[in-house]
Amino acid sequence: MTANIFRFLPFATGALLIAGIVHVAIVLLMPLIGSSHAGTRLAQQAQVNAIELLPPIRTGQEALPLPFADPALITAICRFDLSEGPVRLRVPVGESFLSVTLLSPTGRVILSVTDKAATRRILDILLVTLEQQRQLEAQDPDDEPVQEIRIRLAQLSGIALIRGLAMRPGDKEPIASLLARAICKPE
Amino acid sequence: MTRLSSIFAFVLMLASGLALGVWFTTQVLDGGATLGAMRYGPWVLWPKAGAPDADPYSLAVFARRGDVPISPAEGLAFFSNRDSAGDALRSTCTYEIQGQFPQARAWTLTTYKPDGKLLTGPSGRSGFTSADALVEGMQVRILLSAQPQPGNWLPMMTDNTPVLALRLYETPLSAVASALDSARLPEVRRIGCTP
Repeated sequence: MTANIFRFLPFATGALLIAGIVHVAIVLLMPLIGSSHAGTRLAQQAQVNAIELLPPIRTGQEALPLPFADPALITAICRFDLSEGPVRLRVPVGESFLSVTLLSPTGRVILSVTDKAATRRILDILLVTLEQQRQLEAQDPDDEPVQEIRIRLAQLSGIALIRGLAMRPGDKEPIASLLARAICKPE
Repeated sequence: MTRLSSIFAFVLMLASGLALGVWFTTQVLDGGATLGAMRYGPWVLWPKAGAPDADPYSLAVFARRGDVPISPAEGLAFFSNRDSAGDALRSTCTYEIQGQFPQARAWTLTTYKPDGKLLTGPSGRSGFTSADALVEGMQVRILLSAQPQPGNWLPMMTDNTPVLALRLYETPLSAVASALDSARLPEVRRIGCTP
């Protein structure tokens, strides 16, 4: 009887060890593989270096641009590509909450900027690579501070998710037309 | 004979290890009991899922669900599929979501199906915001039920178990998520069931 347990022990240890490796591998690879993550879903609905306004969620509608998305948010998206030069994101802001979230191609959040950072009711963001940032800084005048928000990215492409909160059904149209005036274009 | 049986044992070990690993990972990622999650009564929060230093478990949970987590700069999002007593939400019951909602620039409360689509009842409503819910004093009381209710009625359909999401936009709690206690989040109390 005892002999049987000792014969079973290496088998069980081996199985547990393999299970542990499989677990760690799945957890680490989940954001990278599979077509279900947010990056792929959004990329299918977006244009490169141009704003695409997603239709506001209507009353009674069940489908969402992403699972578990907040239906009170009006969403515009832009796939940015810095290979030709910096990309400018200019978003007019209103009275209610608005945010610009930068996502990696796999849908991981890089950074988020809210309407609190706006100057004169405009969120003016310039997406740059390290090299582009150095070139711009060399050209910047010394006597006046830079007005725009410069964001240096480690990757050349990604998705900008621009979302404005419509607190009442009647706010959806005004916020959609506000986001429709947003700009996403290379400089 | 011994050689054959040891090869068989090895293959069986590989297969059972693989199966156990996949099963355990699914349990961990779907159960919400992951290392990156925090529980406040019925509510589950992934405080770092949308942060630059997100942990692998939070990233895996959101990659599997396919949504974009809220970032700490935007606010906090709490999810729940249970009531305050710890029982799973049932579409045949009526629940009272009640309490003083945490301080924020705005909040939204939304009902989803388990697959992440909106749970829209006969009235088409699938949530409330801080602007369209009736507030008495500082208290908010929302009734989640398949039957029409007075006041803030959040309809359910009888064939779906709901998932609740409470989102706080620009809340001072963002920076101190670890200091949050469940008493400051609304309770989800079951007040009756139809057989």
